[in-house]
Amino acid sequence: MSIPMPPKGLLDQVRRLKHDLGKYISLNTRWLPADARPQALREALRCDLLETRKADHRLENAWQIWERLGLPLLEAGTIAGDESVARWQSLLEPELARVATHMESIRQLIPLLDMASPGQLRRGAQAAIAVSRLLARLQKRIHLQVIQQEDSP
Amino acid sequence: MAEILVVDDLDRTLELCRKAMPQHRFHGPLRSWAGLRAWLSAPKTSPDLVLLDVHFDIPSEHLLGLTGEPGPEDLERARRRQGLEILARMRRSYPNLPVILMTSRDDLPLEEEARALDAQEYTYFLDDDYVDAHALAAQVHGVLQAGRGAETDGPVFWGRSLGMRRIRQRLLVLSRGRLPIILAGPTGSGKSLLVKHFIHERSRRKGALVTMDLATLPRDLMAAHLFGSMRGAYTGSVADRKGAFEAADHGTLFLDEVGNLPEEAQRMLLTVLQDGRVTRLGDTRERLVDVKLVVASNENLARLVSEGRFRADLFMRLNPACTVELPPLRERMDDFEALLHFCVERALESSYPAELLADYLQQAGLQGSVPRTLAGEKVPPREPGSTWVFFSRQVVRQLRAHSWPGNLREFSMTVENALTFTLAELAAVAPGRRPDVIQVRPKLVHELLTAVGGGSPGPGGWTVSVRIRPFDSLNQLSQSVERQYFLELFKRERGDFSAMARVLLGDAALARKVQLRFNQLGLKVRELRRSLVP
Ligand SMILES: Nc1ncnc2c1ncn2[C@@H]1O[C@H](COP(=O)(O)OP(=O)(O)OP(=O)(O)O)[C@@H](O)[C@H]1O
Ligand SMILES: [Mg+2]
Repeated sequence: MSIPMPPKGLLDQVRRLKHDLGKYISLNTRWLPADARPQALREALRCDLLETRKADHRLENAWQIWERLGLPLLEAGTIAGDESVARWQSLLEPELARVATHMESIRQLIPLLDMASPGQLRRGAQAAIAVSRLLARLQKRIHLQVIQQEDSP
Repeated sequence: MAEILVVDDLDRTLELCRKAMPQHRFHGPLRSWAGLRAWLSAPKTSPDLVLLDVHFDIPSEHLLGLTGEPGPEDLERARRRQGLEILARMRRSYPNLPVILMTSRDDLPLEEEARALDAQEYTYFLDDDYVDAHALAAQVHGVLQAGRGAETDGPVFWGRSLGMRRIRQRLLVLSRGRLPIILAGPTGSGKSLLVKHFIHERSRRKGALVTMDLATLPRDLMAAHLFGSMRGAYTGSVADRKGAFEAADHGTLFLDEVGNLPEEAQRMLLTVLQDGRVTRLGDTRERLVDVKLVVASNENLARLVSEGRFRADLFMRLNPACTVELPPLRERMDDFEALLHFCVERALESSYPAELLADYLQQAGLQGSVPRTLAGEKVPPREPGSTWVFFSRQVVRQLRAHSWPGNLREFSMTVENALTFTLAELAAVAPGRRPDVIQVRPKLVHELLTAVGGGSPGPGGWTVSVRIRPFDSLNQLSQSVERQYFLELFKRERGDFSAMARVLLGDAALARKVQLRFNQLGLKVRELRRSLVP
């Protein structure tokens, strides 16, 4: 049985989420060695979680990006202008549900970052890296599905 | 150390790069096409690599790729693929600058687009899904190495331009094959150098490289030299001799200025190419030869064919479809700075400048230091152990503006002269405030670039002008005078060597001798002929 092609709006949204959140949420953290000192870890997380997208005049933290791009994907039928997307949202479940859990723990960590214990910091780093990985995997999976769809006669 | 531009609307990549790769210098972040264009039009240095983001969350007035009245969706799309628009625009002026797109290839919305970009030389996607500092550093290293790998082969400078890289690739293939190679290109563009240091080496042939310069060899001896001769085959042939073909058996035979080959020798050459056998003049025995033939000409062979001066059937045998045409230097200005570095290094290795340098460094208390080249940039603060060969912006401008009719030969000689005179001058004065900076003065460069003056005819004879520089040998001086005199004489006698021989040697029959001397002096008779007004 072949699966019909997911609508373009959905793919774009996944791509944006991966780009805006996945790319930056562990940019510094991923680079640290496994046994990094708590202070280094705290610094990296401050960049990655609090200043996730930072330009000249704009600043978004990780949770704000998730609210902007991730939550709507989980809430059925909320992507503007594309009714059919809702039906496809179950396709995203496997990764997206786990990302949501990690993001919840990150939301709780954000205001506490300065006081967080080494253990909390380590778990925060693991969550951030997991979000990057899961979003990359999700994007790949959906992408492949589209390619196979296009290639099959 | 490499110079790397970061083009990104956000700051984070740049910050990370600076931390992860302290050995390189990062510039930016440039936040839009306008920013990149401004930087490139007044570059602080010549960049080695660009890191280019794809998504640019910037105001619509800075976006490329918008038409008409864009709606919110159009704006969003333009922002999400802005990096690709910037890349396309940048490629118009910088086709060869390596770019790493800060995205993995399957993040691009359009599959065909990704494929097209994948196929572009010098454009790379991230190896990794994310901007992971380790992975990125490894990739940056790889891309920089790839750029450098082919930049030089021993004494041969290729540079990074796409054109030269293609030529290199092509020659690699042609060198290994059986077919002849035609090398075309103006004087000093590297034809002879390539045969010796690239083609023959890469051919993996076990025999020797034999070179025959048909511009200097008397025409009536060419056939004998090429194919060999038996005793008595022509006047003055007192012993059996093998020719260049036999000497180059299992190796490479290079015929320089092949356009000078007389008709009869052309016919014989064709036979050898067809049969793979040579017969010495005056002999009946055929000898098998396995020779890779390379010919060069700074005249267009196809034109010689159409003018009836070169046999069409021989030309066809020389594999004209694969002619390798070396560009003049002025078409290689993309690589100007790299070439300058290359020539400085090479000059400082040659014996006389190396001696002067060693003396200077010792005098300045800097012995053992290896100078680096600085072109058009500010001199950095003094650092122990560092020395610089410094070309100011003005000097770089002078060198870039020159038309380089003698191409790489002229360029490398100019650089070597500039260094030699600079070092010699420095040796004569007390070390200045910055003895670590060996500065090539604009005035010296100006003199070097204008030294080749012409003679002017006047009443009762010609006046030649010679600039005498310290270290010019007597031979150089007299050659310079001789050259100017010959040129004037050539014009007056309208290229008639017998007439010139009568004037110079009192015997019109010695025309051949005069022509040989022209060749020795590097005067190109064919070109001169063409320059005579009909
Ligand atoms: N690609 C190159 N890399 C480095 N040096 C070069 C290169 N091409 C030319 N040169 C310099 O220029 C000199 C002259 O080059 P070469 O003799 O190969 O020129 P040519 O094309 O054979 O010219 P001609 O037609 O006058 O014989 C070389 O000795 C070298 O110093
Ligand atoms: Mg030559």
